[in-house]
Amino acid sequence: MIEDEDIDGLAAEYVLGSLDPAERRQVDARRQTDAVLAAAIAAWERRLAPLSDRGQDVTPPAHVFDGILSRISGSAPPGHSDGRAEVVPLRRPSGRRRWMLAAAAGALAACLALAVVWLNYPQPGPQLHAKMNCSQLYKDFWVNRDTQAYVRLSAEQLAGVSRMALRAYDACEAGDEQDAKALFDRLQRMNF
Amino acid sequence: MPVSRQELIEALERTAGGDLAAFKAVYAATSVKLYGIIVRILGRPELADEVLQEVYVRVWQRAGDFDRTNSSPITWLATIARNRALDEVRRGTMRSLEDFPELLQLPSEDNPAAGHERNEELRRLYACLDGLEPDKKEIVLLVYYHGMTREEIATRFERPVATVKTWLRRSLAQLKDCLGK
Repeated sequence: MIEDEDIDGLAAEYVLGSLDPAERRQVDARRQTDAVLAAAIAAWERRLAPLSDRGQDVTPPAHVFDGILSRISGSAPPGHSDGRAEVVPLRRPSGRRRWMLAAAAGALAACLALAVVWLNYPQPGPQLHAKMNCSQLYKDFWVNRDTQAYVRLSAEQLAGVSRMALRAYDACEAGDEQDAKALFDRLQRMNF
Repeated sequence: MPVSRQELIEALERTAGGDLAAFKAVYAATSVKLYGIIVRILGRPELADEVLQEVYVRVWQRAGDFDRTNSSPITWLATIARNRALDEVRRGTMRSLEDFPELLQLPSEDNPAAGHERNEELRRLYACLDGLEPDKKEIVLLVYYHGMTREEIATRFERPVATVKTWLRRSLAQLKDCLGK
């Protein structure tokens, strides 16, 4: 429960962007059920929106849109950009499914070992088979890096990587696959 | 690709119906603005690419939530981008002020986009911002454009975090009074 009862001030800071992570999460949750807070947030979004017009526009790299298309379309091949690929409903983004398959392939040996363990469990449903292997993903991230790369990082950077990896693991364990996927994905693409 | 507000509304509404060409038009018309918002907050282009992708996937999934009676299309899109970028930067993804020395640059106050539909609103907002003490105005803009936390502001201005919170609340209340709505 948020103790800050200056609803309008809280909404203003939320929209402005100055709240810390815990406060943002609390406001995100509370606005779903607190109509007064939700209305105050909407009003502040309208008040401050013109500021976005002042910021300089920046052209994103072309590959970004290809990435978006591959996430929202069923069969867009790499480099495909005419957007005519078949679009599938996004109740479950296909990009995530593909990523999970790739992750599963990368951890094949571990999966085989786990399969033996799973045989001792009650008959698992399809959802259980599709569940991410959080421990393996976390371990793979650290083991598959060039250890010399760590030497080049400052202590602060290494701590930052560690925190992000732990957040990814925690999100995965908590069942937040989309969040976990985004974090693991980002970690894998870090160049250090 | 400049498009009118009405064209953007219609493109968003067609996107909600699964029209990929309309979605591409929305992206073409708005991605430079949303990417600018995200880059300024994250300060790291390699993270901004990923966040921009997530934002537009969300737009594709949730275009049906856009309500033309409640919001302008660009406000709706910019809010998604800002919230996603703020969530990302609040994860503490190794951001430090040293990472991007250009962080503290604020947009020029000269020459707002000629003929822009929201020029009048922007002028009113800036007139009210000018009513704040200069350092308070700077703080409000630094938070808005670059997602600086109270802690980062406190460090930069060498004041306690509680003081920064008080400054922000008072400044925003003053802004609201000035805008009169």
